[in-house]
Amino acid sequence: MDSYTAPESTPRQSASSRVKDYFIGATPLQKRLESARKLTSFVPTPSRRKIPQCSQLQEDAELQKVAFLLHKQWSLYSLTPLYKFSYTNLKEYSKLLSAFIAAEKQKGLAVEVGEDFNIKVIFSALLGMKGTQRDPEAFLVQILSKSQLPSENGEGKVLWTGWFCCIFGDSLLETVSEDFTCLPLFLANGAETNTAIIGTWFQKTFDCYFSPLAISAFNLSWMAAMWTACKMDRYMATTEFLWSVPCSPQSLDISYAIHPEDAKALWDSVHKTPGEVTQEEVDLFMDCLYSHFYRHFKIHLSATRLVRVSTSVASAHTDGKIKILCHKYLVGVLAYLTELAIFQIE
Amino acid sequence: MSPQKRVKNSQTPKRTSQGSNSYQTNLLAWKLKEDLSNSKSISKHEQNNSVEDYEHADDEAEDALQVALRFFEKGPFKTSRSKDKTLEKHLKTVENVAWKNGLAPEEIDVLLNVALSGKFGSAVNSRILKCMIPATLISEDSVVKAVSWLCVGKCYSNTKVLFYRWLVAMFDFIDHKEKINLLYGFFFASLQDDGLCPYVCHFLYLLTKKENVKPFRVRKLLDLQAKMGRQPHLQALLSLYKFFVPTLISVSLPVKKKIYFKNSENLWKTALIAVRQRNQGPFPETLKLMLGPANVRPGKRKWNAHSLIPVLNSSSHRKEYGEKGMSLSDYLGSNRSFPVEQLRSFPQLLQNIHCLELPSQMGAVLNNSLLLHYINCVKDESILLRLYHWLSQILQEECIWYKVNNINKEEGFCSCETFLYKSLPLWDGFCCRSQFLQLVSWVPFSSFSEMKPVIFDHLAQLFFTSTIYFKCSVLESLKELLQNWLLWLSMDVHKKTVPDSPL
Repeated sequence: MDSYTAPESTPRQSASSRVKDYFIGATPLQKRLESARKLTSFVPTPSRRKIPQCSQLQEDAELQKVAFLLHKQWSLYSLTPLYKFSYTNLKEYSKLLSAFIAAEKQKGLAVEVGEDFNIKVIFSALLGMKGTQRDPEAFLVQILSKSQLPSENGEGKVLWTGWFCCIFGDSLLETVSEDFTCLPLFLANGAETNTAIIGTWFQKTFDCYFSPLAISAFNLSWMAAMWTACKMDRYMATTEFLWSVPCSPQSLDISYAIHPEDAKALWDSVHKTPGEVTQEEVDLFMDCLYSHFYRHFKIHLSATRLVRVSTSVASAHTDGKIKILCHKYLVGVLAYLTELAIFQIE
Repeated sequence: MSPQKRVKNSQTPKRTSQGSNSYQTNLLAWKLKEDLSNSKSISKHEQNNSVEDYEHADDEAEDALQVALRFFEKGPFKTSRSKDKTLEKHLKTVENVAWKNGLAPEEIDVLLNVALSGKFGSAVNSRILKCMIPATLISEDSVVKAVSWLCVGKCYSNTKVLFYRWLVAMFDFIDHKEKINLLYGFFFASLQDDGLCPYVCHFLYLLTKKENVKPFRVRKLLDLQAKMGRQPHLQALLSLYKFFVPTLISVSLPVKKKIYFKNSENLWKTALIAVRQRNQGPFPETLKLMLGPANVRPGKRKWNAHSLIPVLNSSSHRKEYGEKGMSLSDYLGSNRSFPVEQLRSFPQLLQNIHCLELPSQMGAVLNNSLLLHYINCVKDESILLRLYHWLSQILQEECIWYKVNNINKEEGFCSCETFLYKSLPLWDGFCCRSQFLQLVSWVPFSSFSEMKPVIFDHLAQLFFTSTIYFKCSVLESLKELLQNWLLWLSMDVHKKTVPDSPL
């Protein structure tokens, strides 16, 4: 079949060269193929993870910069590496993307690049959003509406925000060559049509691919455990879980709210290894919650599907929506999400 | 002016080049003087001629044509019934020859001048233009001369329209276009004329090269668009400009629309087919920009709603990012890269293989067999990586039975192979069976112990509980797998020992 001709050549060539270069440093694609072949030593999902560390007290200025990232609901996407993306051309990209958006909004009407439209697109780098030094710099894209009144000099209203980041993305960074920029996590806030238009532009320009990132119930329970484990000075929200039971005519939603300090106390009693969360601890934590619920309501929650988890650190929905509430653990939350995104790309 | 003895010569060009032949000199004299008094004697002479040579049909046609041409060149005379008849006769002569065999370049030259100079009425001009079908080629100089007539202002507007339609229809037959391209500014200025605008747009669409796209022209077109609205012909020209210089202009065309220009070829369609058949030689293909995606398929996602495999778009713009206009060396240098949209044939690929511009989305190569050849030969890591990423994501998304819910999934494999390993355990044996088993037969070579847990165990489960048809399909694909491996091994320099047969 024609459509399989291209991939057929890829494994064969690399396999033969792999035979030759087995002990010599391999190119990224070959490394990837090698891991594919090492079927006996595949890496399962990690059974232990570090508890997110509380990031150092940041100065107010930095806090201000990331404040707009908090308390907003973000839709999550995973993104394959961007080809030939350059941080020095951000102004150029702004101009081109503005023209593209203007052209898309008025289908069929040509627009000149650089012209003044009633919307403005800004590309900016987000400093400090990285796990290690190796991680590429995160950047932010914002669509602003230009204020109509000439008297207002300030920027207009923000219509759409999206940002790309990579936190502790070492496993992905090793497998790509220099032409690629790895920013596997994409978060978007705003109208879905704008997300589609901007996503299309990125896909056409940098040959990448966006996929919506869904969070499975398994990962949600891990998140619940990890975020409960985080040390907080004061709790801003109750710890809440939402389960969904599919039944006719309408699905049944079960919401289970716990006082955050109680949840922390439960966690502390379960928690053994300092600084780390293990699979057993997560399972035990969730089992305790399930059995407590069963005792009161005679419903086995483990047979239903966990759909939403909400703590003082952050809240996550299985459809790939996240809201981060605490700036101290921002990087920690993003690290887990990056891990999920990388898993989806690979 | 004495009537000449006719020289019975069937070869027209020879006759006209003979120095002793006074026809040619008289021709010039007539052109300059436009002597009306000669008309009577000439017309009588022609009538005599046609009576004389009645038996030599071919010769007569040629002669009649020449005579007719000279008649037209001479210009109009006072109308009277007999002259009308003569005019009609000559028109018919020209038309017959044109539709039967086509006109030679010199004849076209003469007729173009006649038609556009406004000597005759608009009806006559239209008829002449409608029958100007080339036998082989149209000389560029005749077109340039004809265009110069447009500046004089003697041309009727419907003649102008017809002339542009003729240019569009006959574009492929004009031998060189450099001089015509130099007149680009003139044609561009004609866009102002509302009546001419669609046809001039179409002509410019065929004529435009990258050098012609300048910012002031872009602005002019945008002003026109603002004035006239979303006219399809303007949209087409603007998207061509965008194709050449995407950093100046951005336009997004509605997906469904395919036709942008009125079909100007109608008038000459049958004749053009005949001309092309006559001249078997290869005609240079004009750039047919795909203004819309090739397949229109319904998709699940809003983003890639129209086509799963991306449209081929060369990534020429990437170089221009961050540059403030092209440098002089770019203009003077001949190392222009060859955009992939123009790739039509294998010889073309070979000629341009060193400067081929890759598409901006690598997935687009799946629709283009020429580019697949290219990718096979070029050992570029980034090309393969880009294709790998795109392919793995697309397969993941579009595969209806693939859902990663189970945490005990194996991790980290590659592209189709990866997809195969990940989804084989979930496969029910029915969905897309032939395609899926094809994937099995493409698995690269490795030892049995590696393959067993990943492929053969899962296949075995399905095998034992399935119909005889499925069993046969599996055996077929395994047989192909062995064949592929043997082929690969025979090509590989380092021979490994053949593993145990998986069966």
